[in-house]
Amino acid sequence: MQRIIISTKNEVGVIAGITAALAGRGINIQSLDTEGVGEHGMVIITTDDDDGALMALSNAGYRAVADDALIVRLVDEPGALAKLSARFRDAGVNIQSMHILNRHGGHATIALSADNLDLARSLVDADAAI
Amino acid sequence: MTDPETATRQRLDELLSRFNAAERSLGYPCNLDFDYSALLPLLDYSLNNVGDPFHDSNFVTNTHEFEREVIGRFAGLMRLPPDEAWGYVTNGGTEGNMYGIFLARELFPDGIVYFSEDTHYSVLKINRVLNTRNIMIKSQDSGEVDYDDLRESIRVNRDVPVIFMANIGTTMKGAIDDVSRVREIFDDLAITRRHIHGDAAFSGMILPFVDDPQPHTFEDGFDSISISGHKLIGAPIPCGVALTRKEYVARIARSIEYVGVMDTTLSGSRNGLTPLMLWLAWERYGIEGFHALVTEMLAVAAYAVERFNGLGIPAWRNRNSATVVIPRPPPDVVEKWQLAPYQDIAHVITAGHVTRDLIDRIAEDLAAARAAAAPA
Repeated sequence: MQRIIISTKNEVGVIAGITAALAGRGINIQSLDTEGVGEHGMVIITTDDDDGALMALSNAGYRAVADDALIVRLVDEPGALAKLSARFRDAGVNIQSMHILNRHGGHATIALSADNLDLARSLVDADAAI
Repeated sequence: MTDPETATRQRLDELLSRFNAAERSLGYPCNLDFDYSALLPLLDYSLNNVGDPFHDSNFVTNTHEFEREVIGRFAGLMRLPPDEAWGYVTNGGTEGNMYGIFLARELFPDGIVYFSEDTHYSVLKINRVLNTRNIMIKSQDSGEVDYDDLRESIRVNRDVPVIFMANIGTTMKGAIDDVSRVREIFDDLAITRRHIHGDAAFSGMILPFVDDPQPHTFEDGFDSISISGHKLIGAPIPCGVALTRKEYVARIARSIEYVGVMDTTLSGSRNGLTPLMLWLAWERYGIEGFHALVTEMLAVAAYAVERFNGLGIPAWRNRNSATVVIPRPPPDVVEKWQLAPYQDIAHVITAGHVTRDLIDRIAEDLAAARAAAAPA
């Protein structure tokens, strides 16, 4: 079972929309957590059907990623991503992909995959990892 | 009981009625004014352009000769001399982009692909399919890549070849990455192993026809370029061209030869009809016709910005762009005009079929929606 992280607006009805999208495909939510930063939020869920949930959320227009990506929240300033890249490089972690999920309220949320995700995770500040 | 033939025709007639009843799309960069009826007799043949259009084919009903002419025309627009040019007609912009990244990866197998967050979403698929390492770079509010962020990200990995996917017109804002600045970054960081691919899906057919274009040609430093055929030109079937330098493909061809295949394109069987469509479009428009088309499109775009602004709608566009950015309207307006919203914005694209009258009509809808949403 994977965590699924949904990047969305921090507004009324978001949870209802997500649960409806999943219920429509007969997918059960097993855990649900939320994090909000200003106008933007993250909804973190686990379900009984990872692939189906990602498909259902994507079809419903949500931006969702699975937990085989490391999700990091950084201060949105020049070079912030590069500093993180440098930390990984110095530790011998090869980044396969690094994508910006959203930029709001002075922060950027990044999804990245790497050849050693556990080591990568250990290199991220505790308050930055999601 | 309806006989099967009648039922089939009814089904198709219903589809046609639905298409005819819809408003002409304002949200997608596709010119709906085209006429390829001269090609109807060709539908009686099984056309197939399998293989490299510059090599011989055993398949008799191919249109390679026309495909080569089309490639020559586009190469000329992109300032690629005929004896240095190679390319083929693709199934659309994504295949052209995939070809560009594929080519770059073959030339630099350990390269990292850099692209801005405003790049078309298909870049994610392409990187996944090609298993290329990739890093998304921040965009400016205009949609253009953030050059400082690009510089810092490349600096960290300066020992690794750089494959930069530049936007020649982003999907949502029509922004154009300035490759002269990108090349300065490469030079400053002494990046010698580099490849610049241009996603010129829509604006690749605008910039050659304006007085003060942003860098967009091979002379400006591009190594490969993808241009769509069904967008600015208009076609009933998605299509486009992938362009690059012959010398790059020769290097790839050699490597493929080892497995006994000299086909340097991505597909096996390839569409033989779309090269004819693009050839016909070039015959009909020519340079002067395309110049007139682009001039009118940009004039309508300027009119749209002025009209929307006059109604209190904060519309704007990038330089040399037919993409007019507006605040996201309510769903009924989005649906009626087939707009393509993303987050808080949407856009009106003044493709060839979009008239000032259509702009006036959507302006009224946008203004009405704005008035309805305003606090009492």
